[in-house]
Amino acid sequence: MSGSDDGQPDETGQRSHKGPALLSKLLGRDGHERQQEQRARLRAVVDESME
Amino acid sequence: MSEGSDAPRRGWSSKRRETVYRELRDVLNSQQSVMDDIDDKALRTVRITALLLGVVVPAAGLAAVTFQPLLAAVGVLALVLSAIVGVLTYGESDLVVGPSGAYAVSLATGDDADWELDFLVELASWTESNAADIADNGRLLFYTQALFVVGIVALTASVAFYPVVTYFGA
Repeated sequence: MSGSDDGQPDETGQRSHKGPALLSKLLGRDGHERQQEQRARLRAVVDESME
Repeated sequence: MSEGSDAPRRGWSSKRRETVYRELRDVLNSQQSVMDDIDDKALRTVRITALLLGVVVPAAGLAAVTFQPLLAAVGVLALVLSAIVGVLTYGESDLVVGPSGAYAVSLATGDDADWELDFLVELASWTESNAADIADNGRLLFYTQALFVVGIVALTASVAFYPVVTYFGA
């Protein structure tokens, strides 16, 4: 629900931002994307349990 | 209020949700401590490496010691790489520590009836994402320390190489 389809902000978590995360940028490994994947997975679990 | 009931308690609609919140909040706090520990170890290794490269290696060059060139080069290279990876380890730390301002406001002002569940899902996604970040940084810390050990061993071997060869008469 990034962006978002239910009115939620794109970034829901406050990050510590200790450094520039150069390696992650270099490897294309984004913490924000990772969190969104986890969120989508957990949402699916919740939706499944609600049905 | 009886123990184990689903009655509202301290603002939460059920004890179950409150318990889950507390557990997840504890996980988030623990993850921050673990990451701080990883960063601290990485930076300590960087400081020691910088000291070795900046003071000990030039001083050893002035002393009457003959280094085995290949081993010395491997040692210095490993120490330099260790310092670089150590700095990267610190720079990669980017854990979620709590709700962003925008999300906190959207929760406070939203009309979502089940905001608690929404918040718990977000909290759980932060802990999952943090766990993956910690695993990555733990790996980087291992590389930092492994390169440091390789550097020390190679430099020591480079100093010991010719005396050992002479002693054994090879």
